Amino acid sequence: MSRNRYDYQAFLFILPLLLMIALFMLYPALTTFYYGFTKWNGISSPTWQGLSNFARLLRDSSFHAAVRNAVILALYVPLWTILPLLVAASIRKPVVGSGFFRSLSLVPFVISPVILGVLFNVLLRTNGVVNTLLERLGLRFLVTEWLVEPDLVIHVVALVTIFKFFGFGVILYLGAMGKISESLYDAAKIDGCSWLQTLRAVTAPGIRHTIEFFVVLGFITFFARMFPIIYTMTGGGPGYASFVPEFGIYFQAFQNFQLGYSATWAIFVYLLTFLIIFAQVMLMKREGAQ
Amino acid sequence: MSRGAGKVVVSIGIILLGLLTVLPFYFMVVTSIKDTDSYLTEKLLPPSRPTFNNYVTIFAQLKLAVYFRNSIIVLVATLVPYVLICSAAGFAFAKLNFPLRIPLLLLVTAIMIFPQMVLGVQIYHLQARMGLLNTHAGLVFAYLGYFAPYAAYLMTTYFRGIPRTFLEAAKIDGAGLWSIYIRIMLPMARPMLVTVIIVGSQAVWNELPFSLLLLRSTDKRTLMAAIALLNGEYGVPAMEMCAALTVVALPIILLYVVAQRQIQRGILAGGIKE
Repeated sequence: MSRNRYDYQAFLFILPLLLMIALFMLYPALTTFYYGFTKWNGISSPTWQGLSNFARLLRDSSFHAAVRNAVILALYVPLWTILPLLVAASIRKPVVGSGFFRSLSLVPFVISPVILGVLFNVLLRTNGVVNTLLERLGLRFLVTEWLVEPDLVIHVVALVTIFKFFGFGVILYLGAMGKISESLYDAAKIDGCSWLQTLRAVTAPGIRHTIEFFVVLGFITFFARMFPIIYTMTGGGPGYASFVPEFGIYFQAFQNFQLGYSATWAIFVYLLTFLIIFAQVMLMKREGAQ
Repeated sequence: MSRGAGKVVVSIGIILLGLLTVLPFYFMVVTSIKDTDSYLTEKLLPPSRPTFNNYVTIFAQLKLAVYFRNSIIVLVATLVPYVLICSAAGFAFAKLNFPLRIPLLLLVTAIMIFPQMVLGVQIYHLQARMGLLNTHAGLVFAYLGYFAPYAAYLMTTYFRGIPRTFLEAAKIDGAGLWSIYIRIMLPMARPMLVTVIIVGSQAVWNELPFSLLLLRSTDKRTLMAAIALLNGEYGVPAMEMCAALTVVALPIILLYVVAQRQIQRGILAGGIKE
């Protein structure tokens, strides 16, 4: 493409997209960074507060709970990443049943997190299906109050989220594995590599970018896309037991009507997101340098 | 362990895993066709005498038909501009040369990562000032902003694969960019357009934070917002809840059955870099 032959008409083609992005993504994002420093009830005009919202955030016990829960969720990223990887590596060469699995694997992914959240809220009740099933299987000692035990509930949330994205991960990994040259596997076989060694030496490095993508998706999901599933499954409770940063934004805005402070929470979530992007860019740069 | 035995173990494992994946949805459907007695006595197995009373109840009591209509209105109203916006942008980013092309494309791909909840509160106040709050049009605009960038990215990658010679030949014949876009590019991009429509339908149908925040009155509410509020506000029995969930999940299940290939294509196109 030569520099001097521009199609200025191109701007007409991208204008609608840019307009939507500017109005409903960039503008809301930028205003957050202003309102986060103000006191504002949404009706009267906002007043500048400097950093006092942030000081308040650091003292807020719901913020401590949200950070604790975000950290716990993030600790599930390895499981989120590795579980589908192991399954995908097992059915890289089709076996009887792998087609059956592939056709069912995306059902939890395409179903709304709202449906999944409400469904697990029903299934995990005290006398619900899950506890009944455990009793029938002779696993009575596992029967518990899944959504009531304060130390347990955030882990349940993490596992349901992993359940939702598991099939997506498998399909994604399988798609990437199809691009690995078969000769690498032949070489591994000649070298006498075990299944696990082959996974570590050939498969995982061969789909490294896809694994990275899935890891990033895991962090983004756990840090900033948990609202629908938690809202419907636990409502953030009991108490603050499954309260995550997104809930701070929501509750401060729609229950306490403190829109300035809500934006302060939002800035925190943005910072988490930027941190992930930054880490990914650094990772890509390092690889580029090698 | 011989290789044959290993294969059998993998087969059994993978079939069990497949069943486990849909087990919660089996319970959802089975619970939805039980009356109170059969639910209390037997939670796991299908009832000996299935009933559809729960479905009758939820449609009668919960205004499910209204929410259904609202969701369909929002879906259709979103899809049409969504397809035009993302395909036009994809065509320009992939095939035309214009100033700031790379930075703008970077903006489009980077912005996809913005979390919804963070945008939601500010969009709420923006739309309040614009008079769009509590209207389906407002929700549609929010969806276009949020979902079109990913679709535009998918279209860009697809258009890149179409040889430039088609474009050059048409230009030499004197065709304008608009007619090239409509008469040549759109028909050639049909497979990715289908994918984009399916991915978009699923995203819009399933969406929660925006639909909860931006539509405040009961008669405007979409299915997902209604279901989400239902679970928190009233003591709905498990059987009726499951009946409602089954009804709401059905369109997506049907879409999945019909368009599994396109959904997989959408996943692979977004997540795998060549």
